[in-house]
This record gives sequence, structure tokens and C-alpha cells, in this order.
Amino acid sequence: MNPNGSISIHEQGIKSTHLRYISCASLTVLASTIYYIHAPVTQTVLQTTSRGGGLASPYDGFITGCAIYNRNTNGLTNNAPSSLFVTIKTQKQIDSPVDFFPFSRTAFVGWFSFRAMIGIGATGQFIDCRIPIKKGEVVEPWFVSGAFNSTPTSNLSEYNFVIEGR
Amino acid sequence: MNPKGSYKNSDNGIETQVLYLNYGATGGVSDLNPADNTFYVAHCSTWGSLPGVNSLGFTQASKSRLNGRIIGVSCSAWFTTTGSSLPVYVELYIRNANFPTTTSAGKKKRIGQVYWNDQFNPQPSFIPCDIPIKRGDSISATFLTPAWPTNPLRVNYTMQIFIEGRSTLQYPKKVQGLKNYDALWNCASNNALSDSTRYSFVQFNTPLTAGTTNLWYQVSPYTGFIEEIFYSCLNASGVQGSSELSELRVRIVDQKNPNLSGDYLAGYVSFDMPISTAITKFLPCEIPVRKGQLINLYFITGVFATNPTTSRMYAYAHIRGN
Repeated sequence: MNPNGSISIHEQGIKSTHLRYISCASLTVLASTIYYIHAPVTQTVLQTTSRGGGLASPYDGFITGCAIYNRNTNGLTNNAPSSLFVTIKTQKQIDSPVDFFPFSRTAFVGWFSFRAMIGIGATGQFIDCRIPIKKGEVVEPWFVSGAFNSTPTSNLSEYNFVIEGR
Repeated sequence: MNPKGSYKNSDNGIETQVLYLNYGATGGVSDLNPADNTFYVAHCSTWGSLPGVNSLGFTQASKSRLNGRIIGVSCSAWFTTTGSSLPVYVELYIRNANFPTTTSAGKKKRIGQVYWNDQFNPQPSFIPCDIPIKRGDSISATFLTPAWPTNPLRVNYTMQIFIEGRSTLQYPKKVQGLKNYDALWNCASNNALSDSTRYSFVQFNTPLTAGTTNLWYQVSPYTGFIEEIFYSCLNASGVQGSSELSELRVRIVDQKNPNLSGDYLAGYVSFDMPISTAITKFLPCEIPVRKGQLINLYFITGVFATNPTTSRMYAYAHIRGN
């Protein structure tokens, strides 16, 4: 399909947006460790325990990908892949003083690398996926870091989950 | 329109824009320890500046690039000390583009409420709404705090405001259904700008990078075109620059096929904003980009009669593709 060409009927009217998560404070990413990526994004850091900071999808549809952006100011590492997951929680009581999530599910998004390119300073990667999501459901991403040969230090990272739907 | 049903012709070609409002308590800015019965303005940027009290914050508001409506807001927050179980009201302020500097007027809509009463559960929520908006309107959000018996401390929050609409009256059939993505950069730290110098937009509230090393890239999720660049620059304090123009440029890097890399001139921008005021501008362009390619946004300054100081920048490239 050409961006200047025709769009099939079933794709017309599909909207797209994205949910943005940022780890803004410098962090040494240890090998083979679970890190949670949080949505109160401006200057928070990856956490090894969940604070549950998710963002809600505005559409019924699919998570169709994740654009990942990594920068290590120090510490190069190899291409040992890290695995990205999302836990999707159903939002039941947004007006309640205490939200609870009786239903949640976890999906594998794909692999990505913490290897930063020398001379450029940041890597961009895009993972394709197709994970069903409904309007109002909350996306909480996390990853298991790879078995690096050396640890990426002073890591800053950004994760943009692309939502397509109606 | 049924979300699972068919679309009317008039619904085809509708785009989405997302605006970000974030505040984090670390990294050089003060904690937000909210008081009772107080308005706090969430700035439409990721500059990390402390929310203003009883201020509409329009000098830092972002703008809608679409004629349409705000369909909802995704909210999330965490903090170090839990507050009492009373709701914090979320309100949106919308200001017409023709009155960008006045702080007293504008439309205000209360859209819902959030709770800051469980530090281990940010209570993320999607607050649906349906508020008309026009291209160029400024949007800010405020939190109206309650009279808490116990106030939360060190609040960090994020909001994403979703807008649906069209940047033009109607897209032709051949481009209906294309998808949209905003690749975002923000530079928080104060920069004085030198003459005839290349500055790369960066991320994470760090200073602009001069030169051609350590460039900061975003990745495109779609094959298509960068159709528009939104650019906002705030002079927080210091010296107002003169109005000589600088080139705003885009560098595309293809990691697999260097022959597809290239540099493009998107347009011209100026830095002559008054102190504490932001310049915001849409630059229409048509720059081809492929899925997975890296995008670096940078500018080359002109020769200023008076060099601007303390510039904070915020920009996104709007990608439309499939």
C-alpha cells in the first residue's frame, strides 16, 4: 500500500495514537533483570518493582508496535536481546477511591537491544506486534534485560506503544 | 458511529493527536506537595517545570493541530506519601489561538476526577470527554485539589490528552485511513544560542546539543511522510533575541540502507519571543520517511543581532503513513 495510493475499505476510519513512557534518569541496566517502565514519565527511572504506572488506551483495537529509543551515555554492550512485555489491566472503577483490577493479562511484545551506536549516541528500534486492547484498558510495560556481556550505564530510554483502532 | 461497525464517509480520514502533560519531582525541579483547595496547572510540555498555582499556564500550553474534539484524557500519578480518599478534579482549559498571551479568559471544562490516595497504585484512568477544539487552540489542564485531611507528598503525574479531528476540511479518498504518529523532542535546560551553529533537538529535559555528535533520534513507526512539524520555544528569562531566522531541518537515517538517508529543510523559525512567553508554530512539509528509519530534528541558527538566551524547546514531527 502506497501512502499516496488507495486505502482498502476496511482500513478506512482506523485511528492511531500512542502511549509514551520514558525513563529519564540515568540508570545502569543490569543483565537478566526485570524492569518496569512507568508512565509518570518526565523524570522517573526504570524500577525493579512495579509502581503500576500505566496509561489507558483511547481506542478499541490493537497495540501494533512499539518504538523504542535508547541512549547510554556510558557503557557499550552487545546485542544480547531484551524481551519486552505488556501487562494489560481492565479498568473497572475509575470513579472509585480505590481502583482494583480483577482482570489482567500479559503479552509478549518482542525483542529489543540496548546496544547504542557509536557516534550517534542513541538507537531507535521498532517492534511489530498485534495485541488486542479495549478502550480504557491500561497498559503497563516491563522488560527482562538480556544477558549482556557488559552493562549499559547511564541509560535513558523511551517507549512509544502505537495503538490503532476505533 | 458504532466503534465496531462501519464508518460513515464523513468519519474517514479522521486523525488523532496526543498531547503530553508530565511532571516529575526529581531532576532539578522542586517537589509538588499540593495544598488544599488549590488549582495546579499541568503544562502541555515535558519541560518538567513545576505546575503553577492559580495560573492558566498558557505561555507553555501546547496547541491542537486538528479541528475536532478532545475525546479523553489518560491520567496516572504516583507519590511518596499517600493522601486521603478525596477526589482531585481534572479540568481542561482551552484558549483560542487569537488570544495567546492573555491569562484570564478561555474555556474551562471539568471532565472528571482522580485520586491520589494510594502510593502503590497510581490509579491510571481514562476520562472520556467530548470538547470541541480548533486548530491552533492552546490546551492546559488543571488539578483542583480537595481539602485533604492528609495531603499527598511529592506528586508525579502524567496525562495524555487525545484529540480527534482533521488538519484540513476533508482529506481526499486516496489518503483517508492513513495513520498518524507524533515523534516528540523536548529540551528543558536553558540554552543561549550562538550564531550559525547547528543544534540538535534532544530528549529527557536535557540541553540542546551543539554540533553533530550525540544526535538524538526518534524512530518512525510508519512509512509515509512527515507532513508537519510543531515547534515551540520558551524564553524563561534572560535576553529576548532578535528576529533573524534559523533553519529548521530534518535528518533521516536509514540504518540498513544509507543511500536512503538524507537532510531536508522543513522551514524557518525565529527566537524573538518575549521573556516568559513561548513561540509556537506549525511548519507544513512533505518529507518522505520509512518505517524504522531514524529522525533527527535540528536547526541551524542565523546570525543574530541579539542572541537569545535561556531557550527551552519542544517539538514534534507529525508522521502520516500506513
